[in-house]
Amino acid sequence: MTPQMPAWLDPSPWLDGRESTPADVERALGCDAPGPRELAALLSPAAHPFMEVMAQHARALTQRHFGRTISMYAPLYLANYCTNGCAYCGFASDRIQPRRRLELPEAEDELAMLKGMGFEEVLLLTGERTSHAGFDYLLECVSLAAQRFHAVGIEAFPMTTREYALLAEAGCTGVTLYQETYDPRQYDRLHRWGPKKDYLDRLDAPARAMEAGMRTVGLGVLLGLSDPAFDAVCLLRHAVHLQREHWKSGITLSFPRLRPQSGNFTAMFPVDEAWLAQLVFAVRVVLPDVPLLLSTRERPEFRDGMAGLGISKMSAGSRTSVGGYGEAEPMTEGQFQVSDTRSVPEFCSMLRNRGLEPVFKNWDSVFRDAAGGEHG
Amino acid sequence: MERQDKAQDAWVVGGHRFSSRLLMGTGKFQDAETMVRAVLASGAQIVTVALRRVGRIPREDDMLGPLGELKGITLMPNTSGARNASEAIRAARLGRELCGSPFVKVEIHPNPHHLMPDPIETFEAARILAAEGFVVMPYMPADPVLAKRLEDVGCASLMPLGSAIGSGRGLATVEMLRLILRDARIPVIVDAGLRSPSEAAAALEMGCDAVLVNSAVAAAGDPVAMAAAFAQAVKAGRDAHRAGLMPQGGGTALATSPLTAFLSEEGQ
Amino acid sequence: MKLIVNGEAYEAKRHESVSALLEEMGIGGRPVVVALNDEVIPSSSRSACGLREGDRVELFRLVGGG
Repeated sequence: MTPQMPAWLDPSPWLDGRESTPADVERALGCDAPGPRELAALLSPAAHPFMEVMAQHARALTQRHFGRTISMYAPLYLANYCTNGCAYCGFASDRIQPRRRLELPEAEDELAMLKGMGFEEVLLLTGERTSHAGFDYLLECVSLAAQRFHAVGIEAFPMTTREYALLAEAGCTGVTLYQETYDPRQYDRLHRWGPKKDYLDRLDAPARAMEAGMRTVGLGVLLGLSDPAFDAVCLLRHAVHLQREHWKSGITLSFPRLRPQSGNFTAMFPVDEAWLAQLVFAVRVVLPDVPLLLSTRERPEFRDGMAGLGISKMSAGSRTSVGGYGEAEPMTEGQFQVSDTRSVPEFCSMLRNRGLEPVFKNWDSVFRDAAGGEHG
Repeated sequence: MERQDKAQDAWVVGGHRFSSRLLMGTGKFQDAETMVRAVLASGAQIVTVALRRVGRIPREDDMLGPLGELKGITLMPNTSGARNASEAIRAARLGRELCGSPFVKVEIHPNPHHLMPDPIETFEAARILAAEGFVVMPYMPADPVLAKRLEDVGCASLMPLGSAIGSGRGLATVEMLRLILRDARIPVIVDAGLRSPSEAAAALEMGCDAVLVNSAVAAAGDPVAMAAAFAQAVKAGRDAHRAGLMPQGGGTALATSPLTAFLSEEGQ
Repeated sequence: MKLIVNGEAYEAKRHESVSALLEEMGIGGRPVVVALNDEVIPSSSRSACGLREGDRVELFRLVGGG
């Protein structure tokens, strides 16, 4: 049974089928309080002639709110066990590949390596909750990471408010959870089996994380799964809703993109670089003060161009197989193919050449409440 | 809760629906008759009143008898005179008894010169009164964080000041109002400091749900005519907001080397 | 009966009920709210509400305000 989108998410008033005009795009760029309607206009074909202007707006706004800096983070895949059947993912349970998890000493080594590379913020990733890598395992890894890193994020599976509160106490500062696609029917079709099939539970999880006192919540859509303009407006609606309901927490946004031929899955709504750029510029205009992320999934030249044009946070030197930082040869397949394989020093050098300063540390864990996390 | 009733452009506060987005205060008028005529000319449906001890042998003009008889008007007692939360709470309870309505404007200004609202006492009073079932409309500094805190404790609306009471400095707090509007889940009513109808229109144009005026009408040359002018301005501002203002000028000049050159390169 | 009305000493001749006091003061028919020893007495209860020596009575009415 396809779930109903909640009223606060429904983008249909702003995707009324009417073609946006150049006048709509201009109005959107000049709007004092842009919203879903303006985002829809900026994402429309009518905005193509305005790309350079949008890029300039995006750069000016990014500079205003983030300075000439790029926040740096590193992903660490803790485990690739998964019980879900997501059609688009390399970790789906029907994909035959070596599965493993990092034992705590291995995790320590990987974390030490990342620290040695200069990172102060780490994002810990797992697949769906499994007996091999479930909540308790994640909690232990968070505690370990929190001893070394000032900012510890997780990207795992939807949890209860209580679980999020325990993670926050253990030192977790952020939760990333992409809805992948907000289209309920498409979501249902693509998530063939497993707990991730529950659209509404996943949708509600970021709010639970905020209720539990998480400092930051990361939202995103996997571009290519559904009509990207639809998903983009929904993403905006989700972000605005969370900002209104949980005003003490921050949000970040990400737009991972299915490359045309990823593994065995072909994107039904392929998104090219130009559209992704348009999306980043448009979101920056509509949400001037929200950090926007770009991963190493994209190629170097594109990342170079986008740094500072809306994008304010990036990873570098990433490994997307389990662990991976300490091994010469990865033992498992990566969740996605890394296109930008530059080392951290190379990447930072590029940033500096473009007048941007890489920032590894944005917050100090000493500010964390001694009793363990904020309770909102 | 939906702030707007899209069908007739009514706005909803504390579960009550209103079509007029102009609220009127009744203070500072030269006499009751002028005040009542001004209120009628304004079309206001929410009218604030204050509480005072009645003298042993009342000599004062009965300002409010005629108002109470007007149809379609909700009297909203303010707690002006209170210097702290307990005084405001007491005044609110007295006001509810007298007006028979759950609406209360929490107004606590300890300093009698600039009359700036006390954020801490206001928050305390709002919290307690909301829990007692009042429709709490707090008069507040235009602070976006205080706005969310007041929302959290159950206020029915926010009443950030435009500028100090009676100062006529207009929307001095405009940038703060924008931030408040962005994240507000309850109606935002600009209260205090407005001098001219154009300022009221500007408040509505930027997205505020309503405005409250008092001094600007009471101290005008012709209060009744001014009240009517404010009514027109509020409607114009609201209509303009719904119509969508044209974009502001001053577009950026194109840089010599385009930022998006990298996109036309080979990529997928 | 000695009462304190609006903070001042007041000698009430009629003190069998709050309503009676109000009538004596000439504000029987006017819309006022009565607080007796800090407790609001609704109009419906005034005729039944008795007064005692030293009671503090406060009377409020609506006036113009912003």
